[in-house]
Amino acid sequence: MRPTDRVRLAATLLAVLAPAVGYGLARLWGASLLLIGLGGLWLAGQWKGWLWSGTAGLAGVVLAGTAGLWLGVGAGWGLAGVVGALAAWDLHWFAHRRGRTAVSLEEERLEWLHLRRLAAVIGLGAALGGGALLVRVNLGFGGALLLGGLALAGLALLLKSSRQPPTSNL
Amino acid sequence: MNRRFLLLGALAYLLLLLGLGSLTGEVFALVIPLAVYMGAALLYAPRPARMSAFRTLSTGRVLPGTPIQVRLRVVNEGDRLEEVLIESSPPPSFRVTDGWTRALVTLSPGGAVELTYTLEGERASVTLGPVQVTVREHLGLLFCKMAVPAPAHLQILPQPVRLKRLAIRPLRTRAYAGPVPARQPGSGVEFFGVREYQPGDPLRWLNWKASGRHPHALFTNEFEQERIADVGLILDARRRSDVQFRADSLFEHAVRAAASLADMFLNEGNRVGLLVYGGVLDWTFPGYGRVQRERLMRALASARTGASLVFDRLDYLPTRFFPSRSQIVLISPLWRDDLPTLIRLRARGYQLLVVSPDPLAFEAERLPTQPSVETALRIARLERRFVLRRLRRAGVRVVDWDVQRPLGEALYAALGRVAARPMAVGWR
Repeated sequence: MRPTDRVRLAATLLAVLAPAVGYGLARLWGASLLLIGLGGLWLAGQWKGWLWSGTAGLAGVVLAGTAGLWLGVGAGWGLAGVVGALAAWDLHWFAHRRGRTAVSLEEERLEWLHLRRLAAVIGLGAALGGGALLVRVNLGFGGALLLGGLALAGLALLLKSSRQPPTSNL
Repeated sequence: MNRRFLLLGALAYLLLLLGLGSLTGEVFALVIPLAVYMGAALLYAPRPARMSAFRTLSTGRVLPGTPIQVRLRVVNEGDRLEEVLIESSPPPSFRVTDGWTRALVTLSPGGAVELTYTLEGERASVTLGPVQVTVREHLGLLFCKMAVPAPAHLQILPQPVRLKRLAIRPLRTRAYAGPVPARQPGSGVEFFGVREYQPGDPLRWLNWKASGRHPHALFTNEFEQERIADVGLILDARRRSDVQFRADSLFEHAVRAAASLADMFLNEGNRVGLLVYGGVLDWTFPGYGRVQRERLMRALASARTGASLVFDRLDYLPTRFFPSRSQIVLISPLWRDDLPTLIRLRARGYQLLVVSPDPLAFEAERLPTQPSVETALRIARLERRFVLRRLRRAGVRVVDWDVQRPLGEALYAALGRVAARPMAVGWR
């Protein structure tokens, strides 16, 4: 098994088991089982080469983590799930890109560089996210309005760029 | 930007809006990893790269089914490229039998990657297209695509079948010795006539029978000169003349027949030209020998069927390409509306030989056995027989060729002898 495959497997398990444990601790066993089922589907998709299973897994874990906040699940479980899902989703696509090409050309170096970048990004995201959970900021109406305006502006930019013709089929 | 970036963006904004709407601060903590991931992709977003590519082939011209090794070298002439996808797609009619045509690598400045793969294909004349290069940052969210030119021309020539000598007898021949009877007295082996003896004639040529009937005169035999001739090959490349069934095509059989006939006529020393008549007119000027053979094979390698309103019928056949009273060989499945043009050609003094791949036999074995199909085939066969008979009556030599049989067999079965003079030339 390649290093990226091992990390992908570990990240997928973290992505589904962390929020599943959180839901279990909140005695929401149905949701736990659903997450485990989602994890099983995602692992099967990685083995079969179903790219859509990665998208479903990431979206499912993110939404489950968010929903858990209102259902009494600790935010830390959700954050761990999101971090794991992001890493697993990234490595799922990397395996897809690598799988259809020549396998003997500097493969190890490429994998190492990819893992290094991913580790830095995920590590930074997890640290900042964890730090954000510890910090309490009082957000006034003005601050909320500003953030809302920024969010809407960003959304408009995103929608505008999505209307541009794609330059890749990956 | 691709769908993956949009997915992350949509999730992040959804969470942001949920957090703002519900005033739940923990939601923002879940957005942070997504935002950092997208931010890293934007920070290391790739720029258009400077690259060059070189492609070499083991050989530029082969016969069908021969493997061709392709070596592709791509060099990075710019900054470091984190992740590069190199794709060299083979042309549509080719298949990759060995090696890889795609590679995913990381390239430092001045770094290079080499791909080696083997192609096989059928008759074609293609220029291998540019190499598609996609440069990404490591996370793969953002990319830059470009096409790096690496031209290489490849020809797969048609494989001719070896044919035995085919007797042709055009009304006009050229000045050089060859295998074609020239309708003139001279040195040869075929008896041509008798003339009065002239001093210097070989005694063994004396015709004693004729001389015996004329006591005061001697007569000598004359033989027919044998020379080379002008042969014009016309390949019917009109789209409506082609019948295709999966990978098999009547036009491919016609091309192979044209290649075989060209090879045979050139081997006998004749001067051969080629006209591909279809969507466009592709004319190969007549010539002799191996150089001409190469020219004709290359022209046949790139022959394609085409549709044109102007060249849909043979009315616009450019006869000025063919010396008058020379031999014309037409390879065509034949249509009824081709009859007037062919009979006119014959009337103008051309010796015409039609090699007609039978489209009905080609299609019949691929159709279901049904009464309606049988009836339609019978009617079509009657029509074809009528067309061929009209041509034969006009003095055109016709070979009705079932492409499942070898071409040589069909030719010699139909043309066992040189044709007699035509009974009638005309078209009502």
